[in-house]
Amino acid sequence: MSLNKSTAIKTIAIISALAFIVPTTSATAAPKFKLCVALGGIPGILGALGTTGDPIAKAGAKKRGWDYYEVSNKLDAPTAVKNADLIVQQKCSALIQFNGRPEVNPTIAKKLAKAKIPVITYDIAQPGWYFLGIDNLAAGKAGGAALGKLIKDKWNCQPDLVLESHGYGAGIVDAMRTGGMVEGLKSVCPDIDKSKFKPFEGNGEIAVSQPAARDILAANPAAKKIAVVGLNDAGVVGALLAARQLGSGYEAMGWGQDGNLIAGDKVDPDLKGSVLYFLEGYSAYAFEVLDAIAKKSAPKMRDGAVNPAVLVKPCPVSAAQAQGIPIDKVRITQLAKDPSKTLFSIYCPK
Amino acid sequence: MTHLSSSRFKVPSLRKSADSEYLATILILLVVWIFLVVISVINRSDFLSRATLSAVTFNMCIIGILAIGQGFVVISGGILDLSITVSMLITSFMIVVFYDLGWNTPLLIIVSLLCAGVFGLFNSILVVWLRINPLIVTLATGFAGGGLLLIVFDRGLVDPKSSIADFGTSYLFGLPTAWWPMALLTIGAHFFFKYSRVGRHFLAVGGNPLSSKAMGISLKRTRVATFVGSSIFGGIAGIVFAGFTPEIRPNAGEYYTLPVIAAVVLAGFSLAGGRGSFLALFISVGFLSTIPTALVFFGLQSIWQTFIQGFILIIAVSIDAYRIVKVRGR
Repeated sequence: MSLNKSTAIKTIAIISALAFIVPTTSATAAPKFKLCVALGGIPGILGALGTTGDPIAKAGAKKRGWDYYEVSNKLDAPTAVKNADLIVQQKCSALIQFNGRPEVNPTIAKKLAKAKIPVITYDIAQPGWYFLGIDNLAAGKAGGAALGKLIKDKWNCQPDLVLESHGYGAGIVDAMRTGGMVEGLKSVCPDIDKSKFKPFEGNGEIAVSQPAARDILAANPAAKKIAVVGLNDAGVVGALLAARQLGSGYEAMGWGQDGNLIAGDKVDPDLKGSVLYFLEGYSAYAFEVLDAIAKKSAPKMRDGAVNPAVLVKPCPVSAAQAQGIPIDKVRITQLAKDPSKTLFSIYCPK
Repeated sequence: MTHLSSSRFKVPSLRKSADSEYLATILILLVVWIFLVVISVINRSDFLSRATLSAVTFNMCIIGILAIGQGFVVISGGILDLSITVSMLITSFMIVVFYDLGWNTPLLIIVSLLCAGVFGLFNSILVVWLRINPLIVTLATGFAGGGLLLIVFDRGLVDPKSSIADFGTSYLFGLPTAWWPMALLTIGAHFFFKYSRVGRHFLAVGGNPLSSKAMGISLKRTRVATFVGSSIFGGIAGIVFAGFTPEIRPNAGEYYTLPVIAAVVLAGFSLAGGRGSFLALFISVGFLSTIPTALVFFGLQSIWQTFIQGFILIIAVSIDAYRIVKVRGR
């Protein structure tokens, strides 16, 4: 009986001690890392993620035992700002941001800086945010060189016009992508006369590039062999369509960027290829920075498109090669199964 | 209640004065348009070419149809329909959806237009029964509709092998096939408002709703028809848009709002309602569609068109405001 009493006292003592220890331990332990994701991209480009979430970021966070929280602005600027408040309230440890309404990024940046939340931004630079993006210049050069080879084979490097569908609002990104395409084209066909290059504002939209290209073609009535380069697929396709609209006398071919209009069965017949970025799989790269932040050894800030924190390799593909690459939703599902890979490593033709 | 007979609207002196005013507007616009063409030809003689004609007429197609719809709203006293480009996009997206379901072209066009009509009906319910200002209603439904399209569709891809895509690049009688619906609708609208009894009802409601009501015209029915009608015009523009644009994005309407309003105001449509000529509107659309092409011949980029259209809009609105003040001062 006395032994039992002693055991009981010991048990009570241990439980009492534990009762003190457990709360003390939990109070001093570091809070669980919380990854937050704020989406809201350009329709078609990561647009799917803007409405359905980012399964790759989610899978990566789950694998690491992190908490996960995501919001979408549905391409609406005021919602993007409200989302920043939610991110602060959620006490996120780090944020992945892809905002198709970059005009409110400075406002969002102020809120997040005040809350000391580090941000990784995709393809849209913002001072103080880790820039993760494509190697724009390499992407442009690769696409331009690929189109250059076609021009060399078909027109002996003598196109009548080279239409440059710019998106001047994109600033340095446009200069590197579209300018890079011109550089790449010239690397194969160096003797194309300067006067044959016609830059115009296409804004990365068919509705803008098509009428603008029509007007340029009308002002150059003798030009019939038309090459088109541009910021993205849509800007290029608009110009290719403009040539078809003006008559059967035109022979046009173009090479786009972003891969938005090259996959699937509804591809413009004159779009000969594109440079894929696999934007929907960027989160696989983001963990390079996120893991360092989680280990309290945040990398040195590199927030510019010229010197980014993480550089994504571009993947030039011809229209024929693109037919072998599944659509973005299938690609996301595949990558989410193993986020340690990248879409480039899985799908870019060797 | 007294019902209106067509003869009661015939006020010869007033109609004659309106007709001469429309004629003056048409002549002024024609002179300005011809002046633009002449200086472009002096600058470069190859401006007068088949390629230029094609470029200008292609430029006219979508803006022209949307402008007729907008003119229909303005003339009927609905101020402006700021959601007309959403009607356009609803139709374009529905065309893609129904095409992917394997529907035949006539059926998918009819049902897509009906979808635009339902959107217009929603606008008219808010305007007529909830008595909200049409400008506020269409601004709100324009935003909400655009947002909904983004949530539901993200984007729509038109099959380049489809008959809709062929329509966007083909020619009929030497001009783009897509130009003809705009031309025919202009002629139709002109005759409808000038010679039909129902058309004059719309004009009367736009000019003086209280008198129209006193004369037995149903304001509610007219307003409902106005907004449903403008949405259907938006829908017709959506068919052309789907033919022109293989990738339809929910935000694409923003590129058309300003040129359409500029065309309507420049054509002399009074934002106060009750007056406007669809023939003048045709010339106004032609003039505004020639500007970007002419700019390129002058060595400028077509992005200058936005600045110039905005400038023209300021002048046109100022003239309209002056006219209203002058009429009220009488």
